Formats: sequence, structure tokens, C-alpha cells
Amino acid sequence: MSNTDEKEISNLVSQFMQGDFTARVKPDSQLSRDMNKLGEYLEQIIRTSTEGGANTCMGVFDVISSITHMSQDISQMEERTFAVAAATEEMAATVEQIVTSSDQGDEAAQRAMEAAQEGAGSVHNAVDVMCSLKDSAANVMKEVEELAHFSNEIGAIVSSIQKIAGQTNMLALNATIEAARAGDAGRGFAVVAGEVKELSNQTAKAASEISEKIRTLQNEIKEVVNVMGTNLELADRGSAVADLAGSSMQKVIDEFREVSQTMEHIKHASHDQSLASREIAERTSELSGLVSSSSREISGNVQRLQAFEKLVVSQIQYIAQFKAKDAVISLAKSDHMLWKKRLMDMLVGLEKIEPEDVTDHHNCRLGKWYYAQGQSDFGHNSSFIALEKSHAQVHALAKSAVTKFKSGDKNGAIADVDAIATPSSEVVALLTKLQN
Amino acid sequence: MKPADFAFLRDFLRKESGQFIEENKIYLLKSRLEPLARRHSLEGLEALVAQVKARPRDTLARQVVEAMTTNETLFFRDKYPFDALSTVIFPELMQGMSPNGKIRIWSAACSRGQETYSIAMTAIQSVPSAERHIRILGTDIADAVLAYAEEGIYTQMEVQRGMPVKQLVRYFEQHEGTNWRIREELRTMISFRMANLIAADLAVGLRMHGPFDIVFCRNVMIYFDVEDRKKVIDKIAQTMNVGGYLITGTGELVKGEHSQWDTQRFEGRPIWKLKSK
Repeated sequence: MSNTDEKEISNLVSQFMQGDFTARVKPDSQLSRDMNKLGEYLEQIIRTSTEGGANTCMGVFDVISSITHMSQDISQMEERTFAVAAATEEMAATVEQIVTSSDQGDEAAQRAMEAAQEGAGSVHNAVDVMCSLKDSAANVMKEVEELAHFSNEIGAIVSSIQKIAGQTNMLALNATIEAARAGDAGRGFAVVAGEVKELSNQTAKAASEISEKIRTLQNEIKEVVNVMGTNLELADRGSAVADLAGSSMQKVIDEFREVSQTMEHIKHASHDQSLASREIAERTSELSGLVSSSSREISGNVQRLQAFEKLVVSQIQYIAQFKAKDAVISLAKSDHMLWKKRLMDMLVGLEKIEPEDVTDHHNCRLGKWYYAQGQSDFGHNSSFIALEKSHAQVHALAKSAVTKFKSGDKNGAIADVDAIATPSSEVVALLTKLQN
Repeated sequence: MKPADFAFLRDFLRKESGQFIEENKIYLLKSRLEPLARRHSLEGLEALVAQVKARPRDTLARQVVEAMTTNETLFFRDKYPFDALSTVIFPELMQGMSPNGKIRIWSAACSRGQETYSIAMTAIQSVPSAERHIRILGTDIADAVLAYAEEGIYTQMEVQRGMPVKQLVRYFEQHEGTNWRIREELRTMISFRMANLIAADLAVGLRMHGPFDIVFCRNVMIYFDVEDRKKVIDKIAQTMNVGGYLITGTGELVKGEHSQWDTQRFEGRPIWKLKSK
């Protein structure tokens, strides 16, 4: 039995040094068995590192995609709070305007109230004047009625004068008859009786003229009484109208008092509102500033995380150079994660991908393993069999997304990238099952 | 903030843009100018103020003015001005218009252009051959928002504010994912340029675009004090045809010192018609 010679051990070491830790030698000596153990040990390190790297990569990717989402949300929030702040600022300025207007309205209402009070004073004066007019008209009426009474009395006196004149005439006639009977001795007396008769006739004529005048006077007085009656009525009505005007004016004043009070309420309310809206504007402005600074913070974080991600990826790429059994399973997980990230970057314009860059599911790292080494290692494993369909889906969707994006159908591309999530996490879950 | 720095910024802004800042707005100075200072690697507002003081004609000083403007705007804001355009103002101005007649519209302080494009959409829908008859000028004091307006690309959030879906689909096309770009047919009747409402030579600068039949100047004067408002209204009157319409924010009290205006009411809101300059 020949032991593994030095040359074979040396070959193994040089394979290890080239990064192939899957190489083994015949385990026929302590050294060769130790060397094979070393190989297993190195493979284990690579598997653990690859798995660790893949997990870190997926973790970082999750954080990045969530924080990118957050960053997009917050930049929308920034746009909106900025708009709200501007709108609030304008509202505050408009409220100031309302304050000015309501101050002016309040002043105007007070002036109107003063004017109405002045008007009410004038109406009161008019009412007084109408009342004294009515009183004096009533006085005149009384005087005129007295006058009518006097004229009636004068009429009675005149008729007694007419009666006396008639009797005097009769006496003069008798005296003339008696004087004729006395003959010559009565001639002188007859002359006197004739004179007396003549006087009584003149008296009767004057009395009848007076009586005529008195009648005319009485008619005139009646006319005056009539006119005075109308006047009195008008004065009555005038004073009633003036009274009405007075109470209307009072209503106007009451209404204006109401208007003035309401205006005053509006004035105070708008002053209060102005303070409140100033406060709101100030706080909104602060809020907008806070959101802006959060937005800056977050995009800084995104950048730092992206740098970290690059570091992780380069580490994985370094480890991937070493050959270790089943390490490809861990690498496949991070490979697909990284592809998903590239697609998302493409959607936001950070990365350019051509449709031919997206390989078929036979030609990626996982595919190459799946249809060769994997087939012989896990060919009958149910997880392994299920893997094919999900994996093919991931590739088909990725290709479709890139093609759609290139043709300008951004929404279609977004839908495809969103749809990758399900088969992609299936791939990761199935791969993890295989590892266990 | 040091009182002297506040006083400087207050006077500077009032002179440069008409914006009237009171002491209760110190927070606004901070929230708008601190990021600007950071962008220029300056240590806080004090350093920023020192720079502006030293070089008040520099880009930084311009950026201070721009940062302090409030660019709140949305499509078809308040709705009624656009209803007034289509039901009252356009029909009146189109009466007896010659085949090559123009209706000139100025969207003053247009910010990111939402108002300007809303006017254009309204015009296309209510004026036959609008592209021949309608000329719209959008102006703002801030270059950055003007560049935005000129590009005519709006975010999802911006098009969601105020714009009916019908208009969105009709006048916009999707652009790079969730953004929307205004269609070419609207742009042909619009031009944008910088204009400062309180500049003494405002009317001269706009002469080649006017005289205007319609001016939109909304929610700008609320940031000015009463004296400046009167001056601005008079300056706007100088750029207009007598009989032209001015639309302000509902609560903004105008009436100039020299110009004369009739108030017309549309749905209870005042619209101003220039009687004489």
C-alpha cells in the first residue's frame, strides 16, 4: 500500500491556494486525512462567510429599499408640507386683510349708528313742530268760533234796532195823524213827526245793511271754520305720520345697534383668528423646515447605506472566488437580491439595463449550478424541483420589466418589478430549505 | 435675529418687492432664508444679511427677495374669475371685434403659471379661434417660478389642486411618470417675463405686451401696505385700456389714488372696470 506522496499533497495545497477548497486526496495517511479535514474546514468557513455575506446583503437591501421608500414618502411629504406652509401663509395674510376690512366695517357701522341717531333727533324735532302746529290750529279754531258767537250777538242787536226803528216809524205815523187833527197848532209838530219818520227809515235801512254784512261775515266765518277744521285734521295726521317716522327711526337705530354689535363681534373674532392663523402659519413653517431637514437626513442615510452595500457586495464577490461545495446556494440568494435592486434602480433612473443583459434562467450562477452539479446533488429533493419554476419566473419578469422600461412603458415595468417579489422570495425560501 | 438685521431685511424687502414684513413675521424670515443661507454655505442669517448689505445688486440679494415670496397658487383658483371671463368679460370684449382683433390679458404675479394656463384653458373654451385673438402675458418677480411656469411641467399634487379631470386630460400629457406637461396649443398664446409690480417703470416695461383688456392681480397686494397698494393699482391702470377689467382677490381693497374704477359684481364678488386713468 503506497501512501499519498508528497507531490499529491503539494498539488492539494496549490489547489487550496488557488481557492478550490473542494479538492481532496486519498485519506490513507494521517497527513492526508488532516489535509482533507483542512479542506472541509476551509469549505465550512467559505460557506459560512458566503451565507453571512448573503444574509447581510439581503438585510442591507431590505433596509435600503425600506429607507428609499421612506425617503420617497418624505420627499412627497416635503412637497406637501411646503405647499401647506405656503397656503397657510397666504391664509394668514388674507386673514389680516379681513381684520382690516372688519375694522373698517365696524367703524362704518358706528358712523351709520351716529347718523341714524342724528336722524332720529331731527324726526323728534319734526314731531314737536307738528304738535305745536296742531295746538295753535286748535287755538285759532276756538278764537274763530268765539268770533262767530259775537257776530250772532251783533245780529240779535241789529234785529232789535230794526224792531225799534219799526216802532219809531209807527209812532211817527201816529204823531203825524194827531198833528193833522190839531190843525195849524199841530203843523210844526207834523214837521218834527216827518223828520222822525225819515230818521226811523234811515235807521231801518242801516240796520238791514248791517244785517246783510253780518250774514256775509257769518258765511265767511263758516268758511274759515271749515278750512280750520281741515287744517286741524291735516295737523293731526301730520303729527301721526311724524310719530310713525319717529318709531321707524327708532327701529333703524335698534337695527343699526345690532349691526354695529355684530360688526364688533366680527372685528374681535377676526383679530383672534388672525392671531390663531399667525400661530398656525408659524408652526406650519417650522414643520416644513423639520420635514426638510428629515428629508436631508434620510437621503444622507440612503447614501451611507449604499456605500455600505457596495462594501458588502465586494466582500461577497471576493469570497465567491473560492470554491466550496453548496456555497453557490448562498451566493444565488444575494445574486437575485442584487438583481432586484438593479431593476429598482433602473426604475428611478439610477441604472441602465439592456434586455440582453438579463440572462435566461439557465445561464445565471444559480442556473448553471442547477442544471449540472445541483441536479446530481439534490435532483430528487422536492424543494430543488420546486425551485425551477420560481427561478424561471424571476428571470421572465426581469426580462419583461427591462423590455417594457426600454419601450417607455414605465408603469408596466413597475408592475413587473413589483410582481418579482413573490417568486423571488420563494427562490430564497427554497434555497434556505436546501441548505438545511 | 438681531433687531438691526430685521430692520434691514424689512426695509430691503419693502423697497425691492413691496413685501411688508412686520415683527410677527420673523419666523417667516427664518424659515425662508435659513435654507438659502445653508445653500450658500453661510453661517446663519447674520452672515446672509451681511452679504446682502455689502452687495445689494448681487444674485444672492435677488434670491432673498425670491425666497420671501409666497408662491401659493392653484389651477382655477376661486373659480369665479374664470366663470366671469367666459360668461361676461370675453363676450363683451368680443363684440364688434375685428377679424384680427386681440384681447390682451396680463396675469400679474403668476407664480408657477397655474393662473396663466387656467386663463388660456378658459379662453380656448369660450373664444372662437382663441389662438388668433388671445394674447396672455404671465409675469412674476421671481425667476425660478417663471422658469417653472415656462417649462409647464406640473407634479401630480399640483394638477390635483383645482383642476377638473376633463381639463387635465384635454390640455396636459403625462410626462416622466407622475408629472404632467401642458400641451403646445396652450403655449402659443402665452408668454412669460419678469416684472416687479412696484418698479417705477412697470408700465414702460410692459408697453410692448399691452395695453391690456384684462388684468389678473390676485393675492399679491395682501402682502403690501396700503400706500403701496394704491400705487400698484394706479400703475396697473396705466397699462390698461379704459373699460378694461381688473380682477383682484376678493378681500383685497383696491381703488387707486388717481385711477377711477367702477365696481361690478359677479356672484357677489367685486370685479373692477377702469373708468379713467
